[in-house]
Amino acid sequence: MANELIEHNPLLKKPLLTILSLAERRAGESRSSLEQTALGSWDDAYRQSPSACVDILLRGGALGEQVLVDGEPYDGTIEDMQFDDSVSEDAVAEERLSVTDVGHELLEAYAPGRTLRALIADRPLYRDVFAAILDACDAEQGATREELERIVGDMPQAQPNPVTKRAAVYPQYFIDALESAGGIAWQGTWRTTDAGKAHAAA
Amino acid sequence: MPSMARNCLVINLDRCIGCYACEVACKMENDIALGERWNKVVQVEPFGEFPDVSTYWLPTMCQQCEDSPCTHVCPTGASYRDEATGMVLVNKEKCIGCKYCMMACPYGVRSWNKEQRVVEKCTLCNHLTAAGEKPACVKNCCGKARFYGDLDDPNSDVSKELAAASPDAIHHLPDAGNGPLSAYILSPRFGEWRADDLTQTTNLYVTTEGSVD
Amino acid sequence: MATTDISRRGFVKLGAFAAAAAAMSGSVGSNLVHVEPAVAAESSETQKVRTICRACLNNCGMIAHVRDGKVVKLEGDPDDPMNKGAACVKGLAGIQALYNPNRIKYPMKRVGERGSNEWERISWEQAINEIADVMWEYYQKEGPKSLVCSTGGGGNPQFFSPARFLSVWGGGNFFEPGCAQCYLPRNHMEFCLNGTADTSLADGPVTEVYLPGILPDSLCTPTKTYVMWGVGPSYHGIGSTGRVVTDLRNNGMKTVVIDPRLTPDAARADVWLAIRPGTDVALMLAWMNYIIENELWDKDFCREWTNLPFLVNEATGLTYRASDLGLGADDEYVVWDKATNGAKAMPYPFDPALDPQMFGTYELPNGEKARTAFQIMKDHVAEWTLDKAADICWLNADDIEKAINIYVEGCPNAGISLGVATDQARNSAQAAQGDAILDILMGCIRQPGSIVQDRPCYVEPCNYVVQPFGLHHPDHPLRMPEEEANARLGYTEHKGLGHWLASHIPTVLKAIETGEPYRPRIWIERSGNKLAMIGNATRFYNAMMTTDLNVHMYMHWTTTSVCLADYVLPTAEWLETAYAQDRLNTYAIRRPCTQLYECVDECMHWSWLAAALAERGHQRAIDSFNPDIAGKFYGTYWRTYEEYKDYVGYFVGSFYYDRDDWNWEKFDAQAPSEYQTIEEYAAKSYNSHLFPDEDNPSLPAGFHTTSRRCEPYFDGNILLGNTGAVDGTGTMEPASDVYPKSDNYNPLPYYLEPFESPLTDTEYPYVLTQGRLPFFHHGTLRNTPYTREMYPYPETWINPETAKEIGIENGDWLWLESRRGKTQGRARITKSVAPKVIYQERYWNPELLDSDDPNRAWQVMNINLLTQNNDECPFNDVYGTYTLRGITIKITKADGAPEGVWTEPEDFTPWLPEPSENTGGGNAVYGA
Repeated sequence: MANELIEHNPLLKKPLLTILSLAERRAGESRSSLEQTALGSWDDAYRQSPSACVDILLRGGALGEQVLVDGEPYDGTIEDMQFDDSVSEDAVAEERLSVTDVGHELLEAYAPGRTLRALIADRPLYRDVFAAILDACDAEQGATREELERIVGDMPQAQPNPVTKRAAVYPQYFIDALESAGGIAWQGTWRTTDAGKAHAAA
Repeated sequence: MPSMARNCLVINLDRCIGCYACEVACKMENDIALGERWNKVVQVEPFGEFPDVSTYWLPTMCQQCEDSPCTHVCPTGASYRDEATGMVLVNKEKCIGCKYCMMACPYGVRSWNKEQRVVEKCTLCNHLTAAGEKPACVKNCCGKARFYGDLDDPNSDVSKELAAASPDAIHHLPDAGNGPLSAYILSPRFGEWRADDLTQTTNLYVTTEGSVD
Repeated sequence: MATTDISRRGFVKLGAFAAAAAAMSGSVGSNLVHVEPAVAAESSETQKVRTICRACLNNCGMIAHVRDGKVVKLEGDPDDPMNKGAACVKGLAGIQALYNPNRIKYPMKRVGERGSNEWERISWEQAINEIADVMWEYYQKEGPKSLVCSTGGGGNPQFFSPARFLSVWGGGNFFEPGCAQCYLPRNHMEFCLNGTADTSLADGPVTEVYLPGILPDSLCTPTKTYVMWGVGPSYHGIGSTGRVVTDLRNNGMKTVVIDPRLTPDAARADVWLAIRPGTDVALMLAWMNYIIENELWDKDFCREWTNLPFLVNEATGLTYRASDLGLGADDEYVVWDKATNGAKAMPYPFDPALDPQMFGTYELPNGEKARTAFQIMKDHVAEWTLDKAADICWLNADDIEKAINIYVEGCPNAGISLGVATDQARNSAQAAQGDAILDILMGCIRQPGSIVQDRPCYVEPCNYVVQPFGLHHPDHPLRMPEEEANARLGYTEHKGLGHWLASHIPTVLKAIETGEPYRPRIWIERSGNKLAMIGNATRFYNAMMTTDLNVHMYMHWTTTSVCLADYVLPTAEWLETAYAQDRLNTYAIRRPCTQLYECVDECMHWSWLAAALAERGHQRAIDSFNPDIAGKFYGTYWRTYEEYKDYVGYFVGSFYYDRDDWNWEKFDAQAPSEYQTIEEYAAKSYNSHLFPDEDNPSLPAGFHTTSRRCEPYFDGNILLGNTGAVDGTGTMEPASDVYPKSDNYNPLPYYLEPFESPLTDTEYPYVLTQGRLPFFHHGTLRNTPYTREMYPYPETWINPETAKEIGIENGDWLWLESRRGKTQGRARITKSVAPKVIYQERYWNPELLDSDDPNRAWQVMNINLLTQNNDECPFNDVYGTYTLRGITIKITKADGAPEGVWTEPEDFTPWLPEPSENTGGGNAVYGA
């Protein structure tokens, strides 16, 4: 399952998707130039280098690689080429990255509009809670965690219900779910994302 | 015969709790290679009708035979009896690796040191005992089941332990005239001595499964 | 802000164990006796360092021979009062563990995706800062619930380190794979009933057995009968427990061993009951019934010092208070007086004018009918004949009767120890109740030779030096806030977990899987290999692969590090650490003998993380370094190892020696030493309920329970379920902020057939149990060459009858399969287990860590692929225990050993020790 690449490496979700969408936008660009571009907007919090992320995506089958030697396709990896005596020492080699079907599926699966719709559609009981959070985070200063806890903490949907034997659901559940779905993002405070705003508007 | 000490180990199986500490204490003290043991503990597989079964753990090591076959067959004198202590020992300098002694030993308690290509066995930790300490297996024994000393000295630990035991609880590994000194104490309360049934093959105690039936 | 400079005296007042602590306040420094110097030069080259082991929980005295900064030899310390020179395989393996080539030597960071097993070495500074960055972000974003911490065996576990850290962090979850599955049910429930101590021989409270041979014979009554119920001292704390039980047994103590497996102690027992795994409570109920029916119980003790004569409200299940019926005060109970044939208030301790009925049903002044607690118990167990128990437990009724009589003959100088076995099944709390009840009925409480003694760890619930802030002080500013404590996962359903501040593992997993009620995002783990030790390991793996950040602290690479971790932090082996431990009336010391690479005691990992959070502005973390807030009792977090060591010295000095000025140097200068004479140590327990009460000397001290009597009818269980007051002192008013509330836990033990039962399961017809081996402690020592040489693969024990049925022979490789997975073992056909009972111990294969699929290291020979922790299999009500022993399996023959596992002695050559220099460890390169 391609999704495992993200699900099993949640901290790498952003950098992996960043690389992937970059590769999609700049189809046919060389690996080194893609990595260079990525580095320009690379976040320290990403932990892994663009190059390590490209390797992960290649291993996971989300990116494909074509080696070009003097502009011609080479049948093998860059390592193969380096040990290949038939390639001249001064040949110019280049790695071209392309997003595979698996990669496209990944980008689609994690497109915020889609994940957000799915989250809210799957949990009609919590629709108002999600809406309240999206609204609160749309404020000029965003919303702090404590503010969201106050808002959610008072809503009936989060309360335990001895009649239905429903356990308490903590504010963190809603924050976490909305962040994972791409509706809000942490920028020192919680902010509604474009996808979140679009959803709220719709 | 000059009067030599009769140093050996006596093991009180009533107290042995099958923890294998003696086996590893021996290996650590003597830096014994993987695959070799000078003191291998084997469990006598439970016998009788379930659940009324008996079992005990039998540590096996050089029995310090009075008439030791290993020293008799050794062509170079590498296997020898030490004059001062009476201990059966191996002088590795003289050992040519012919393994006759390993074949002669009725108890299969001699080890082959692959690296040095010599035969080894329990030395009664004579580097320690010479300095007045006890062998490593005795010191660390978790059941306090192992005793070291001179059978001719009534004040030795071995003599005292045997004196305290009921005569019908004192056993030796099967004796083909070689006179093993090491004694095992096993009281009927805890089990029936079964070593006599275990003498069919030379290396009977060294089984791959770690136990014998 | 209130300062919390908490003195030892302050603790005594606050603690729930005041009498126990007070008893030791008589000990003063003048009891110091001359001891051999700690470090004696053997020659100009070799030093002998007196220290204590930590290869298991027993802390046996050891002597480490140190030459040129390297540990060259270990041997048992002959002067230690408990192990007396003995040293077991695990302890002796310490050198091969210390210098193991498989050590985690430096902080490491994963490169690439999880499972890729690619790592880069990073500095401590980078590691701590990067981890703290993620933690701080999540703290701000989602709050303290985002963190889950765990610990386990191996190395020098400071059991409460994670709970201490979480108390500073301000919330979150802590778990440990033992806990509800090991020791918590006994540690908590037995104390609740007998108001004295639990009966675990492996964990420390059973000290009486060590006294013969130390205490002068004239003062000593050796234990006459010892019932070891699922206890195998030869295979757990071997040097101490195995040795001492052997001593007593060979000096005439009779023993009964209840164990599905023929352990060395079972082999030497007067009666061995090879019980069907998971049915222990059925047997206990039959023992209770037999003792009641045959009037074998201790008449005086039950009448005067238990709640058995008290009348019980049939509607609530609670014992009546005299005030309920207008008969007296609310701290008085109600009995039916024979002489006046009426209900009377029973004051504390006992009104000699009253002659309470022990049994019967009586009509109260308010018209309600009420039974005595003893009558309820009698009715409750009446169906449990010996024949019925024999039938359920696969035993012979005559053998059960013989066992009970051997026990009864020894009473009251006798007792039962309950081992881990019953903690590993859904009946865990009830087994602990049953064990406590039997010793109470027989008056085997605080008597010479009895197992239950009032010499508890002074620092409950376990004798650890490092404590969670506020554990004993509800108002401590760094105690975990109440609302966060109530939000711990699975706590409200299983309130007994609160005793150890723990969460419920299956509920933690569910929260990670579903996000509800909140999702833990960061997992910091300190132990060997959770994937080998947690039930139903596949579920655990799948859940932990989805957390955002996993940090593993350990000494050796395991599958937790290789398969799950993002950061790996090198932890110290016991030979590298400093600690302290009481050994009977003495206090012993663990002295660091060397410190390798950049390894460091785990207490520093947590301290450094706290310091990094403090730098980022986490207020509670800042406060944890402030002595005015943290207080002397708990100490601040430590910036250096020297600070930590000084705290250990202070703790021991102030708590045990009545010295407020100790640091490590002062402790080190005299340890080990006696803090009490052995006579004082022994006498402080015997009949200590009759000693004058500290606050009111005209009354006896009684027991540490609500009624101050033993409470074999433990109605506090009902209150525990309602309010979470772990000592049963709660009320019937359910706590309003805790939902879902627990069921009302039953005051009496009851039997539950294992969820998967060989009586009804035709698809999986055999019943699997586990049990200790002398080579390993939990998941440890699978990568030390001598231990693996001795036990290279897990043996699958099968009775010859069953082997014939399946068609397998000795040495065959097998598949064991349950509804949750399949794994391998190697057949040993043996009469050491009953027909249909299969025994195999936990295992994992470090040799597969470097293979193409490191996950196989925890999968190929790990019975925890078969065990339960899934929601379909019911948990124990009080503790949430999932079932590790007594599950059903089927067995088929395999083609051979799993590919790539090492089975031959020479295979283990790559793990032979590589002695290395004393570098000073991580302390030498980093300080917060």
